[in-house]
Amino acid sequence: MHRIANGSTWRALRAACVVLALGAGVAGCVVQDQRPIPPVIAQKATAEIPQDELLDVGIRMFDPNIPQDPAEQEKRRIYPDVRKAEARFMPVLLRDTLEATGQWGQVRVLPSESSTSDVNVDARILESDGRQLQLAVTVSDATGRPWFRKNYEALADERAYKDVGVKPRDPFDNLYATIANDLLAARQALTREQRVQVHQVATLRFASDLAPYAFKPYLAQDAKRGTYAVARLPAADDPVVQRMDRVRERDYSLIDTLNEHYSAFSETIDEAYINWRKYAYEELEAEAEAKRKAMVRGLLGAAAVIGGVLAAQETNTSAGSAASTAAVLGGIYAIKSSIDMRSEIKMHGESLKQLGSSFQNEVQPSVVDIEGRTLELKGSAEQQYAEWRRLLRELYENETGLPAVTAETAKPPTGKR
Amino acid sequence: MTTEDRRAEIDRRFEETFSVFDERMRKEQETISQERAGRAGAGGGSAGEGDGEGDSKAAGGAGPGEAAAGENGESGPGEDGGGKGDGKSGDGTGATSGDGSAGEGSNSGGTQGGVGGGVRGGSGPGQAPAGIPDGSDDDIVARQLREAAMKETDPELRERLWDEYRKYKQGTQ
Repeated sequence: MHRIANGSTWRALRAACVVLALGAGVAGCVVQDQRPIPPVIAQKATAEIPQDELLDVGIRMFDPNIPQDPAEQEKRRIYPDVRKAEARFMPVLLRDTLEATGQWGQVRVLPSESSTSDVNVDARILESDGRQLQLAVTVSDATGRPWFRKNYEALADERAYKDVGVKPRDPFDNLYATIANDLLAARQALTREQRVQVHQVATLRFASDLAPYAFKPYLAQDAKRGTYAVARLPAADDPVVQRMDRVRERDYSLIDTLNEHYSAFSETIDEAYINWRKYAYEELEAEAEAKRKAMVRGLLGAAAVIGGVLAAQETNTSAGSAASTAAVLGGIYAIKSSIDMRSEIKMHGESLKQLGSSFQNEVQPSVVDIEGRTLELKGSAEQQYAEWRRLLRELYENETGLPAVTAETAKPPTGKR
Repeated sequence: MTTEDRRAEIDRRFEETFSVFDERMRKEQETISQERAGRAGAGGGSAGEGDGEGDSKAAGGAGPGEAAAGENGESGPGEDGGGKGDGKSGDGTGATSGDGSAGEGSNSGGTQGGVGGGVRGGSGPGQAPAGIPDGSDDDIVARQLREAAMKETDPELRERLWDEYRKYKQGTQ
């Protein structure tokens, strides 16, 4: 029996062990979490919320976060039109989740540069590949008070991919439910007075945007901190306020119409999108598994070769020599096997590329269509808004006898104009 | 011209522009409802559920229009609140019950159409091996697999893609 206890042998064995430990560690990194994942339930309202505390939520179109560099897009497997579609699809899911809780007033998806709602949700897509979803979410209210800024990350619930015909849940429903619960917790942290003022400030900010000469004096703005508060409330029977209310109804109507477009868009791409994610999920899982196997085989092979070579140096028997040769050959085979797995990894990579390109081609016309319709609708509405601005100004001047321009810097009006 | 006369004139112009705007939104919503119903019908989805959603949404959207028509200068905050509440409940119910069926229906239709076009128009370098169906009933995943296999130049990878295609087709039939 050969002796393997000298210093160089121990060092070699330690090296081999390190290689094996690294292999086990790397393998451990890609071991999948337990799925299906327990569902997170968005907390539903159990009592009626007073009307003046009921806050509207505006979910702005998500930031698709598309890198400018095409090479970076390819490296990160980002398909611009797919991301653009997701930036419209995901807010609709979040909207539906929030609506279903009954905790909020109107929940709307807003065009990215739209006016302020009571509560405003902005999100950036950090990662979305069918296997995981990562969003950076920022929530604030109309007073400029930040509610929270948080990164959300979820692995796909594989049940959603197994039976797409029944459409049980979106694979990332848990993420949307978690955001809904966080929003609720943030709202509950406000006092009743704060909630009431949020709605009042949102109304005044809208009015101030259209008729600053009439409404800005009602708002106390801290430009440095970016916050707003109610300085005083206008009289409910003020003719300008009454017309402004009716203009705002049209603003809601425009956004509701846009939301119908967004809903229709989501329906249009829904099945293709879930299929793309489902198949991408399978390919990514398979790719990760192939990478794990290749890594483990390569590392085991390397360890076997190192061990065999060292054993050969130490042995002085023919049996020991044969054993060490076998270990080296086995190691080389394992390394070759690991290298061979690259073709499988490559195949999964190519499949993902094909899937992404194909889905992008499929979804592109819908994205172009929704973008065009949104622009057309908003462009048409802009003309009306310009007219309403003019009419509000005329009305203000008629009611007060003051020129609107100079009134903008005037002190808050008192009582009925 | 007195203040009242001028106010009346401004209100008349407000009414005109509101009317134009409301009509524009009404037509837009009607178009969307028709398109959604059309897609649902083409896809063989549940027409009843699809209509339900459309109607519900339209009812919610009609809120401002209705409020505007009747009350010149009377739409105070109280009425706004009521209108919003009604719209909310209508939207919520409609969206929940209708989205699924309308979406499924419409996408089945879209997928079938796309599949047909893709297969008939396919002119990749490879050819489908014997035993591979013509693909006329492929869904999006099958079509992508087929396209990938047709384009693949590596014979081994191509065969694996065709195997995947066969397995997928068997699993979906």
